[in-house]
Amino acid sequence: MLCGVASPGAGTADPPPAGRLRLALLNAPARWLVAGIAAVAILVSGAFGGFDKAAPDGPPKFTVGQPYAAGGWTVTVHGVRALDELPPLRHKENSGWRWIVVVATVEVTDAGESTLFHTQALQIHGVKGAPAKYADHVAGAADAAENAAVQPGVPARFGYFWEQRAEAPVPTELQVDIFALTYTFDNASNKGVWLPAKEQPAAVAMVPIDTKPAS
Amino acid sequence: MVATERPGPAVPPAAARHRRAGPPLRTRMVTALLVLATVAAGALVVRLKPDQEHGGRPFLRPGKAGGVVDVDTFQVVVLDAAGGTKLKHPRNGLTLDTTGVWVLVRVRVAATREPVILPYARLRDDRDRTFSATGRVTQPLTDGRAFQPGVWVEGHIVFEVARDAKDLTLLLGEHSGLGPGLLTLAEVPIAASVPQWLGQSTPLDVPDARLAA
Repeated sequence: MLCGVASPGAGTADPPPAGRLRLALLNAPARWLVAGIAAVAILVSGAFGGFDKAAPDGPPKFTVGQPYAAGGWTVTVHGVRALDELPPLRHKENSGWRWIVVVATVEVTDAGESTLFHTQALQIHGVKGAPAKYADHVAGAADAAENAAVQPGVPARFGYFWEQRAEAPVPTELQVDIFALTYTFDNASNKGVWLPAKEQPAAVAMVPIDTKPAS
Repeated sequence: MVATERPGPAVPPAAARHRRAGPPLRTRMVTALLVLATVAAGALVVRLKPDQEHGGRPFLRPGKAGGVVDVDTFQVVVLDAAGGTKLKHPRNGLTLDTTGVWVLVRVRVAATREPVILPYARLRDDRDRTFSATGRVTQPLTDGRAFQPGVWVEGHIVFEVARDAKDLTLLLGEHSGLGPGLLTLAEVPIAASVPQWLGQSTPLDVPDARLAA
């Protein structure tokens, strides 16, 4: 043996455990590494709800007459009526329109502050000749007051009035969508605010339309 | 040939090569600890740093019922409060019910330097819920009335609050609260008892605002 050259036995002592792991990783086939990364990704995904049961197709259904908790408020849809006239509300024109009225109670539960956005709690679908996305009028059931905020912990019953062209048929039922009140950061006001969801309804239901005249 | 006789750079001994393979364990541990400490300090700073909402919170000028609260551009005195489950509509005389409780707060207000309007009126309860002045009736003071410097006006602010509300505090200010600007608000506790008002079913009157003596 030459002087100064380590013998193979003494110079290649077992590396520490961390070193062995490093060597094993460096020498592993690429597919092992890919499989390992995928396994770690799946485990991390599972830790954050990746193994949760997938949501069923479409939003959940609410029950007419039952409160439905949707974010910062609870909405109870009581029913839907079709009426030609309901003073003191006035149509946009003197004739040619009727009202499709969704009667609902809104209670601010989690938001902790008054809101005027209850006018965007509901939308309807399946009514020909009713062009508005949100109700044309939202009025208090007790006093017909509009533009009155809903106060936290004070349930308020409203009529949501959509105008429908009189020549269009009144369907036997329509779809009512409930939209949640969600806490979000508003760039305009530069602070967190409670706003209604815009895209995805929190719950939907087909609700029959009562066509009896107002008593 | 012996290795030490070769020309060129000397080959370090095997032990030296091992030492240069990486820093000692203690150095590594110290480095890891410093990294952890830096991350922890960063997390603490982020946690303690005021968020946008905190930074934009209103300036409060606290006061007591019966005393003058100076809010730079106006002064206010909270006189008393009344409550009940029914309200007489000031315009049409109809009785308004509520699933909560009507609360009428009587105040005196005067501007200090130039005319002001006070659209921001809230009652805050013990759970930090805020109730805006109701829109179900016309408000004598907060629906756009301009207060003049040195002219005291007395009137009511009408609220509709939850039946389980406690420890009500009036917040009153110039700003509507919708914009990004900072508010300066009078903050005055109301000597009132919501549970006591639950049994009060006589409709409450909302008198017109008047000049105070």
